[in-house]
Amino acid sequence: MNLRPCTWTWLVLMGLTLALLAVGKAGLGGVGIVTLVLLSTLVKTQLVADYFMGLKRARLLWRAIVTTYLLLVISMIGLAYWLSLF
Amino acid sequence: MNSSVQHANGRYPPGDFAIWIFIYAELLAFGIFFLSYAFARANNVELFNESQLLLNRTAGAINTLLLITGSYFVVRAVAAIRDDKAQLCSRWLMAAIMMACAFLAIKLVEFYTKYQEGISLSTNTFYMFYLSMTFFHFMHVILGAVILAAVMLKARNGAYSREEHTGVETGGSYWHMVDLVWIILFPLVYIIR
Repeated sequence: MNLRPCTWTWLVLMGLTLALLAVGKAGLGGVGIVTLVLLSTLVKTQLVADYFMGLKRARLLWRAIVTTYLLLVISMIGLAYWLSLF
Repeated sequence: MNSSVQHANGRYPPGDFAIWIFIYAELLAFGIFFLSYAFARANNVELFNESQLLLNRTAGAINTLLLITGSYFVVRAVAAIRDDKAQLCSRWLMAAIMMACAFLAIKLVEFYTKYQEGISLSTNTFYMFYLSMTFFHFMHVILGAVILAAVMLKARNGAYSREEHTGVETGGSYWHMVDLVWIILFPLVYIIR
């Protein structure tokens, strides 16, 4: 199928969101599930940055700022979750 | 050299330079909100988990789908103007604005439901974060929709072309930022437990 990269991106984002809803509806939690949820959030946001915001074609610095931000924020959310277990 | 051309050369991201400074500042503000929520939750896990159960996850997921689809429509609008198709660009932007309006309508119903249940900022720490973060984001969606509407009207009036369409890219980049922060906010507040 000859779809535009932005259309593939949109389909992946929709699929991951529906998977997230299924996790939420099932009331799933725990380290494993939260790790998967955070990894999928990282993938989704990087896809938006690369293919929707157009950062994949911009100079590396512009993309690195957003990627660093996403890694920092999402890993800190994971750290806070891990701390909540003790 | 305008920034549309600069972007084509692979140097700057799409849109005006100033909007990217604004976008990074907004990301920082939302990031502080997210981390404040996450670490506040670490100290009140039971309260946050119990309060979260009262949120409408389906509404949150539908709103995520609406914002993602709105962002996709904006990408198509930018692609259309790069092909010098101004009317097609304005139609894609109109579709994106419709997604924004649907998001706002669903969010208003959520806010009204919580108001009817007697929930306010002072109910507990979870709701203080939930209401302030989602309302802060709500205001950004309104601003994003207004910007897209202004860009759509200019596109319809022939103000943009293949050669000069920085305004479309600028409005689009802002809109994608609004989408991006919601993609983090939704699992953080509605799903993670």
